[in-house]
Amino acid sequence: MPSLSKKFRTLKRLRFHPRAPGGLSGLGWLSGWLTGQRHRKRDFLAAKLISQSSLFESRWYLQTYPDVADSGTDPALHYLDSGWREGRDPGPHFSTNAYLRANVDVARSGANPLLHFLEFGYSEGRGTWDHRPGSRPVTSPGEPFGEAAPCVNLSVPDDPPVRWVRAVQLGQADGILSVDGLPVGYIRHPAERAAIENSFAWLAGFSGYPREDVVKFGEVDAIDPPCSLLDSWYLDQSRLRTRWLPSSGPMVVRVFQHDPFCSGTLMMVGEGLATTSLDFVDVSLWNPYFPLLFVLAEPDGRLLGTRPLPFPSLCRGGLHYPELLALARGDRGSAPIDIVGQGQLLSERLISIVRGAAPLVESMRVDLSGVDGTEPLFQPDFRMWLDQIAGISIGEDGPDAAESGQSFLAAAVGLRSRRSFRPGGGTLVLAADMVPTLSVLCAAGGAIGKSRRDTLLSLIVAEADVSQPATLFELPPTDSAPFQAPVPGVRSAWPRLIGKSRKSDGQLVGAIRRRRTRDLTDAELFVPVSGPEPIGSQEPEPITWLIWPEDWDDDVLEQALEALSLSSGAGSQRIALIGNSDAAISDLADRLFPGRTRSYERAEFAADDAETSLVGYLGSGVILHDKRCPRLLSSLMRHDGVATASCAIVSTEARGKTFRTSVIDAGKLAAPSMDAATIQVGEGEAGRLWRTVYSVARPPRDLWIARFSSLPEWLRSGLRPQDLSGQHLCTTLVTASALPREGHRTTRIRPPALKDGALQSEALYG
Amino acid sequence: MKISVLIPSEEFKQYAGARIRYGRLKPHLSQLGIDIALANVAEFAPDKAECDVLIISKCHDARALIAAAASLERGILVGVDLFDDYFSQTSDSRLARYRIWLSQILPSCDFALCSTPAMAQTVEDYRADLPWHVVNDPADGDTPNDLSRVLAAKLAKAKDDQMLRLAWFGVGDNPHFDVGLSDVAAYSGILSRLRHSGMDVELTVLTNSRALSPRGLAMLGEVPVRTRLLEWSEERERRLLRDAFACFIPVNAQGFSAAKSLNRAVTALVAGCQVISVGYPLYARLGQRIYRDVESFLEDLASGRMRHAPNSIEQFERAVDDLASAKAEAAGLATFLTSRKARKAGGAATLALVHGFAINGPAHKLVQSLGGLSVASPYCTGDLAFDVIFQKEAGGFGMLVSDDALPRLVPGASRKVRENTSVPGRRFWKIPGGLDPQTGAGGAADRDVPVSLATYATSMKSIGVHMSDAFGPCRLFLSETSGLPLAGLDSRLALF
Repeated sequence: MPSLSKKFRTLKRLRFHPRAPGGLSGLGWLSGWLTGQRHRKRDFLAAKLISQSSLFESRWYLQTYPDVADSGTDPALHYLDSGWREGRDPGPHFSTNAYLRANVDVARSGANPLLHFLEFGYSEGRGTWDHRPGSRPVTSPGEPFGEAAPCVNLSVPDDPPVRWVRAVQLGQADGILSVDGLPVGYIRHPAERAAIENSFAWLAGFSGYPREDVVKFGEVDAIDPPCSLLDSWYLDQSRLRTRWLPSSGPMVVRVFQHDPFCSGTLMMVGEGLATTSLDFVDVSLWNPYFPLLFVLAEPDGRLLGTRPLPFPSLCRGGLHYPELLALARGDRGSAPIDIVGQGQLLSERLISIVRGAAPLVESMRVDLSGVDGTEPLFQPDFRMWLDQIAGISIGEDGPDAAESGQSFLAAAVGLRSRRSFRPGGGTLVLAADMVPTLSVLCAAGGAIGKSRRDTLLSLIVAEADVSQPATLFELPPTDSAPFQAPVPGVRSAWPRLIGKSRKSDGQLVGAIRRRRTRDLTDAELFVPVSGPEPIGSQEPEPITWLIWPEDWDDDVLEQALEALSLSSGAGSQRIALIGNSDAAISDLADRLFPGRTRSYERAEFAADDAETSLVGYLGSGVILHDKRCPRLLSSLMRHDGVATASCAIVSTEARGKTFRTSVIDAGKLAAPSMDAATIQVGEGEAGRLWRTVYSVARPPRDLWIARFSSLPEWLRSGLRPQDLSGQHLCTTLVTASALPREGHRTTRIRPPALKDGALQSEALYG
Repeated sequence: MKISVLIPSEEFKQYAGARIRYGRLKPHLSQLGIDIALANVAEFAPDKAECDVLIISKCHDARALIAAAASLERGILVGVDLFDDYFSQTSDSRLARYRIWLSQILPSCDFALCSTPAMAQTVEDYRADLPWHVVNDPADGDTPNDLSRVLAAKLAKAKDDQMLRLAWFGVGDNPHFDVGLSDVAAYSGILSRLRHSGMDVELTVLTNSRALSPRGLAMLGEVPVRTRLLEWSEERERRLLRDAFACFIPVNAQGFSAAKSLNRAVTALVAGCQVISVGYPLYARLGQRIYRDVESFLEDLASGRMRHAPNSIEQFERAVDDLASAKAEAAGLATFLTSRKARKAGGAATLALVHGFAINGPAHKLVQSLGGLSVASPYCTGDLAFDVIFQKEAGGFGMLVSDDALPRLVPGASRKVRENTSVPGRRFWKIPGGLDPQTGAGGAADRDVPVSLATYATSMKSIGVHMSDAFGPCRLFLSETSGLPLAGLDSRLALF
């Protein structure tokens, strides 16, 4: 179907053609004539577009606006010309003013709102609530599927309409292929029948309703149709919109799904004609996660082939869409993501497990801390998919539930899958606000049965707004066990695999967590976790805090020392004042830490004199506003291989009578694909890692604790990164504050970068 | 018996809490000889109030603390009504101030009224020995006489029109929790199954305009059936329930939602609507007439035998009598209250209100009007006529006592008074501080938020010690309106 813009391009080419008659003046005349013609043609096409639209109702328009009827003007032309400027509506289901109010860019452009909606707004997904709610298409039982909904409807008189045969019109003629009584299309060659039936057998088998009498499940010998699925996205929880690229003329798309609600009955869930890549075919899903089979046919009903979509949740807006982005990242260049191909790869792995291959995951356990039951793991459709297709059972993880809400959730989350094809795998432990990735559910365990170890898995954090990029947090190849820090009331930060797993499984993305949209408040930024439960061990190990008084304003240092003296385990903490210090500061420190304050000329001397195994670095301006900081950080240091432990640092900026708090330093993550690059953990990243422990390439520059034994090495110059190992752990379970400072900022000791032990962060753009 | 219900503002009288709970109980209590009236906390004088029982309702500030303590002193039976759970989320630092408020007010209370047993459990977590009583929200009047006809007519109309009209009504948002529209969106996936009925399905959402934010509207966009959206009004709610065949009322399992009353389901049932409620089984006490899944709803629809039907009205009326009868609830409340005995005031302690980071002027006036002391902590920068001011000074706290409060010092403290000083035009007498015995530092404090966070709880404990040393036994309350979790991480612990 030629588009309006294509016709304009033709005119444009003629206007500037060098051999156009009339020379320059002739060209000018021709240009003017063509411009007039173009405007007239444009108006003609636009009026036709409006009048053909279901949103324009001529009779309603004339009844509602009798002055238009009296004038004898064509109603479509009236609306196109002046009606919309006067705030009139083209019909009962489109509000001119609401559209312009909601779409300021359209209002500014001076475009006719209905025309804009038909040409652009519809395909751009402009908000439907701006139109009267009744305008949403209704799926009526007698006629469940509408025609393919074009985003541009620019038929011109020269274009003959494409006539196509709908499924209900296929009849029972010779050559008709029906599956479970549903007419599918006409077979062009007898040999194609088996191939098409194989595809339906795959759909049945993969949906958990195997047809033993047809073919072996999974052995699909499908006919590859001359088209591809360009894009697909969820309009709401049960409507999927698909866009196709037909390579040889118009084609009919029919979509089939087994309805688990009706014992697996095969249903046609969508049908439409795709003429160009701009046409949509909508699918009304019985379950948004169950597999789909697209059957492609010529308009006259002759079958072209099939396309399976094993995991619709990989489509845009679906639960697993961020995983699709992660799977396809890096090597696709500008090519579109192959949803079908990626889904098929995963499905083949799952099929191999169903056929007897050892799975990586046998069952799941769910930590219920901090959830409310609205998460996907509690929703019937997703649970039906976990049961029927993923074949996985779920148990509860964590302490006994005391509250009625928690005990309800514990009962609600349990699931015993009716399909038991996963013996021998490990147990996947997730927080209840996560969903398992398809990758982990489809992964085979291979020959790794001898090793039994717990492994943390990588995580994708997706935003509630699906148009925003998700973030992949990939664990380092080193042991990630040190940052398993379960805290009562705080949900598990990372997916965890118990039992069978390999060392390399840490890079496997185990789960997707979808964040809620609410921004963190000041209270949460200062105190991420409040409550009576302790964080970390009961008492911190003794720490010697290194402080360079000359870097500080005296009054700020007084406050920092006082805060430190009020923190947990203050009675066993020591102060090492390095370099020059005011006598008043020394006195104060000695009073707050009696007998535990020393002054040294250089940090090395403090190291030589160490009476504690742990050393803390308190850079200028940092206040431990949370008394639990030393306790939590020292408990993180108990794991071997941890080089430093630190927490996020927040800062408050006064704004009149209020203030704004933000995370200014929560360490640096490793960036993928760039050897030397790191990513500063600012507010956005910290928000995604909120209430977690994670490993960083470098700790926050002004607050960390480490082992005293490491200090001389770090102070020496010429340390080679390859000589280093270990992890810098950082946490957002507690925070410290940095007061605004003036003048030169000094960081006296920088722990070496440990990129190999750091979390990698990567934004996933759709 | 006269009951005063202390409410935070005049506007609160229009809110569902006051309208449904106390408004519907009032006539029935009156028949039992009990007069109940709402009292705006801004106009409430605890020393003059003529009531036998004081119930604190949603007044989450220091005025309620003072009013409760002063009323207790007068031998009035004091209780708190807890119908929204802002208190059990102990790891949520946003709600620390609510937890501190409850920790402070419960010692002054003789009882608590709760919306559900779950809410009562939360009360027990704070004060195990406090008697509590569950007050179910009463239904709006008796079950209509023509309920049987309404139920039959709705079923017939749904079948004739081949259309399922569903309704959701209520407050669509909350400043602290994801509730309302987010529940509708999260649980609405099951509504797509209603297509199996072969009928057209439409969900009408009736909610407050504040909830219709871009986020709220986007959530509604996820609902898989056609959705109609209207702004809430009492009249629209009545019309919607009149026309709807069923109400879809999902409930999430967080403490706030699990503590809610049965009111919405009862209202829907009384209006002749079926109720589909998935998620947390909040309405389990209403029995089998609540649909917990769409499958059984569809089966009943196909057979024409809905659970809420003419032949089960008798049972329904009994359930309403048990759980939502204004008469029964009034009788239960009257019995509970008359069996309580007001505690005798214990000893002569000085009432003192310590102002924290953000001050509350009305609370300051209230405590002074009752002869108590208004105390400025070192974090307080407000310019009020305080009786005592704590200031940071080298080595500890300096305590300034106003001319008016000077005679109230105990002899030992009077002897320490050294000099006088002027603080905004008023004369104060200074009692030197010295090192604080608990921290050794004196609890430094100023307006820097991090320093305040670090020192606040310790400083408040020090202030408590200083006040008792200076004035003898004190009943101290903290007035803090800041949203920051200043008063410590474990806010259930006593501050003073």
